Amino acid sequence: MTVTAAAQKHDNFWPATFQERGAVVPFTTPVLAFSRVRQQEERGLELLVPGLAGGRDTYIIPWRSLPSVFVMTVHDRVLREEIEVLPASNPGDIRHASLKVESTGLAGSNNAQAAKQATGDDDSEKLLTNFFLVTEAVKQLSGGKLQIGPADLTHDAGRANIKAILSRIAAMFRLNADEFYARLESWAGTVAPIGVPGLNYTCRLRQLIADIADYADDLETWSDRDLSDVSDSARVCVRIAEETSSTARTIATGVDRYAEDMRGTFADWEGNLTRLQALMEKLSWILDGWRPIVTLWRETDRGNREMAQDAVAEMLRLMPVMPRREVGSRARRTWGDLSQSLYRTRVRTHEDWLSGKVDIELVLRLERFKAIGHERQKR
Amino acid sequence: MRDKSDELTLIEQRLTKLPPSKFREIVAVLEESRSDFGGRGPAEALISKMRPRLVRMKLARKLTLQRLFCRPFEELLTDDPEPKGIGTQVSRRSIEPCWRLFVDRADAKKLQRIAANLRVCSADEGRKIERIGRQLWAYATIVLRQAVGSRNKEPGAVLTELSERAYRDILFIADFLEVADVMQELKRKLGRRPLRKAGEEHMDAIVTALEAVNGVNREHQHIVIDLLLAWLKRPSDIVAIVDRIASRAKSEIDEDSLTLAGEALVEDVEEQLRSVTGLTAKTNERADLVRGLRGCVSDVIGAHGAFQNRGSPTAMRRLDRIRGKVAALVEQHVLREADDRVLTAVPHPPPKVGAPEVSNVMPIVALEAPPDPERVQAAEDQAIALRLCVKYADELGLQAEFFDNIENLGRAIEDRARWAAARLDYNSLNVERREAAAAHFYVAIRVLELVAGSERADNLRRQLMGRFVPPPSATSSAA
Repeated sequence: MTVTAAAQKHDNFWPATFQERGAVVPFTTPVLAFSRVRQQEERGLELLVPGLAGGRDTYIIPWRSLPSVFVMTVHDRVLREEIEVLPASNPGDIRHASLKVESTGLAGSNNAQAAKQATGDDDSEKLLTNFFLVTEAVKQLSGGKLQIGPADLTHDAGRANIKAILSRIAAMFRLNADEFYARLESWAGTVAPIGVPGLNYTCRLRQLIADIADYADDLETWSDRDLSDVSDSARVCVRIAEETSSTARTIATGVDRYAEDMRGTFADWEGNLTRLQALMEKLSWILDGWRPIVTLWRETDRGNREMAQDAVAEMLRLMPVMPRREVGSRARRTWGDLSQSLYRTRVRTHEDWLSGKVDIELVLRLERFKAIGHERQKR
Repeated sequence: MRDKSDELTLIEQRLTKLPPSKFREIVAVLEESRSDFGGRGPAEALISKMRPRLVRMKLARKLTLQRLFCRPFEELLTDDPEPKGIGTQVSRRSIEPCWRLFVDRADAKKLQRIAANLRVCSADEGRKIERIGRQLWAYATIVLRQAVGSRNKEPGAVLTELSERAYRDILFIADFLEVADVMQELKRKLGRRPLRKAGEEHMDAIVTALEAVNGVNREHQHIVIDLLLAWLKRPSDIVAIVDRIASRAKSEIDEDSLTLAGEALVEDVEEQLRSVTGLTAKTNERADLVRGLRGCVSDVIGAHGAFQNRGSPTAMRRLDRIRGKVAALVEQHVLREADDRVLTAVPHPPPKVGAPEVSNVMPIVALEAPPDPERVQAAEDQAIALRLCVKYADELGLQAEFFDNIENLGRAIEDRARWAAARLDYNSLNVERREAAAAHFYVAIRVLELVAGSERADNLRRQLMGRFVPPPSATSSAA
C-alpha cells in the first residue's frame, strides 16, 4: 500500500485538543520519527506524520496500515503492537510502552541500559516524593512540633515512632495511619514526575520545563547571530518554547500549591486528588514532544552554521503547538499567530530524513537521541 | 658554575610550578619588557621556555609588531620544522629569520612610528589594529621583496646563510604579505575555522578574493588555495570548491590551482588511510576504525568523481592504490571478523552433528543467564560496521564478498536462534530465567536486523518470541 492511498492530508494543522494533537511516539524508523498517535472514536488509532516527503503538511495514517505502508524497524513494530493494546494513548502510557520495548535491546544495547535506568529513576522519584510528602505532612500538620527523618526508617523503634506520629496526624482527618499513608502514596504517585518544591532532586518534568526555558534562551542567542532567513524560523521556535515553558510553569506552580497547604488538600481529599491528576495530565500533554527537540538542539554543533540551520528546520517540523481549546481566549490569539507562523516558515527538510528508506545511519541517530533523552540531569 | 641555558632550564622548571595568576603576571611583565622589534634578549629566551604553558593556558598575548606581522598567515604556521604535504605551511622557526631580515633592512623611524601607533591600541580596537597592520604588511612586502628578489633569482649573500626551509618560507611570506589585506578580508568572510561546508556566500568571497589576487599577481592564486586548505574541516572539499569556481568564473582560476587542489585531495585521503591503519592495531577502537574506513571510502569515491573529467593519470593511479588498501582493510576488519564478533553473542549450536547430548545442553544453560553486555556491544558494533560499509561494496570491488557474508551471517543467526529456541524447555523456567533467555533472543533479533534488515528480523521475532510472551492483544482480551 502506498502512503497516498493510506493517508489523509491536513494542511496548516492546528488541533482543537491535546487528544486531537496526539502523543509523540518515539519511533526509530526515520520517516516516522517524532510522529504522533491519537485515538479517533470512529476510526480508531491513527498516526499523524508531520512533513512527510519533506512537505509542510501533516499526513494521517491508520495505525493498522503502518506495517503495510512503511518498512519499520523491529523496535517500531513491537512498539506499534504495544500501543495498539493500550487503554489510552496519552504521553504517560506511550512512555511506559516505549521504555518496555527499549529495555528489550531492540533499539540497541545502550538504549536498553538507558531505558532500565530511566525506569529506576522513575521509581526513585516516586519514593523520594513520597518520603518528602510524609515528612512535610508531619511538619505542617503538627504545626512544626513533630519531625521525622530518613534515619527513622532504618530501625524498628524509628519506624514505630513514624507510625505513631502518622496515627496522630491521620486522626485529624478521621483516618488511621494506613489510610493516611495510602493517600500520601497516591499523591506521590500522581505528582512524582514533577516532584514537590523543596525536594532535593529535580524530577523529570520539572527538569524538562527548565530545559525548555534554557533552549529558548540559547536558540534566541543563536538566532541573533544568524543573519539568514532561518533566524526567523528559529525565533518562531523560541516564542513557542517560551510560551510553553511559561504555561507549564504556571501549572507546576498550581500542583506545588497543594503541597504547600496540606491541611487544605486533605480537607477535600477526593476533589483535590482529581484536580491534581487533571493538572498532571495537562502538564504531561503540554510537555509532550519537547524532550527530543531539546536533545536535538543540544546535540547540534552551533558553530556549524549549516548543521544548526538544518536542526532549526527539523525543529520547526516537530514544534508542539498548544491546541485551540486548551488555552484561554487571550493566549488563543498568540497560539493562533504562532501556528500560522510555524506553517509559513516550515521549509523542506532533508530528503534523506524523510525518503521512506530505513537508512541505518538515521536509525542509529534516532536511537542515540532516545537514549540521551532518558538521561536525568542533576541541577 | 652554571651556564645560561642551565639557568633557563631551572627557571623553566620553576615556572611550570607557579600558580596560574602568578604565571599570568610574569608573562605580562615580560611582554612589556620585550623590544618592539623582537630580538633575542633574555625576555625572548624566557618566553620561549614558557611557550608550552602559554599555549595550554590560551592566554591572550600582547599584540606586538612581530605578531601583527604574522597575523595574515598565522593559520598556516606549524611547529613542524619541515612541514610536508600539499598546501604551504610556514615553520615557526622561519619567523625569526624572516622578521630579522625585514627589521634589519627597514627604516627604523618608520617602524617606530608604526609600533607607537600599535602601542596605544587596546585589544578591542580591531579596525584600528587592522589599519596599522595593512601599513606594516605593505611596507614589509616592499622591504622583503627588495631583500629576497623574485623566486627565479639566485639568493644574495645574506640569504645563503639561511636554511633552505627558511629561505622558501620567506619567499612565501613575501608573496603572502603582498595580498595580505585580500586574505584578511577572505578570512573574515569564511568565518570561524574550521569551515565544514562552503555555502554560496563563501563561494562569492572566494571568487572575489581570487579576482583581487589575480589583479596583483596571478601566480599568487595558490595562496588562496593554501588558506582554504587551512580553513576547511575536510581539506579534500577543496576539489569541489575549485570545480565550483571553475564553473562560475573559469577565467579566475588557472590549471596549476586545479592541480594543487587535486593533489591536496589525494594527500588528504592518504593521510586518513595512514591514521586508519594505525587504528587497526588497537582493537578497542572499532567504532573509530569503521568511521575512519567509511571516511576513506567516501573520499576515494568523491575523488574519483572529481578527477573523472580532469584526465590526471597520476592522481587516478594514486587513488586506485588507496582504494585497494581501503578494500583490504574493510575485508579484513569488517568482513572477516564479522562471523566471530557477531555470532559470539548468539546461542551456539553443538560443535558437530552427532556430538554427545551434553554439548546441546551447554548453550541452554548459558541462555538462562543474562547476555554478557560486552559481547552484545561488540556484536552490535560489528554488525553496524558491516551495514555501514555495505553501501560501498560496489566501489570497493567487494560486492560478492559482502553479499556472501551477509547471507551466511544472517542464516547463521537465524539457525542458531531457532536451534536454541527449539531446545529450550520454557515450562521449566522461572520468570527470571525466562527473561534472561528472552534477552538472548532479542540480541539475535537485533543483530539480524542490523545485518540483514528489518523484515527478516521481524520474521525471526515472530517465530521466537511468541512462546515467551502472549501477544499483546491476548493480554488485553484476558484482562
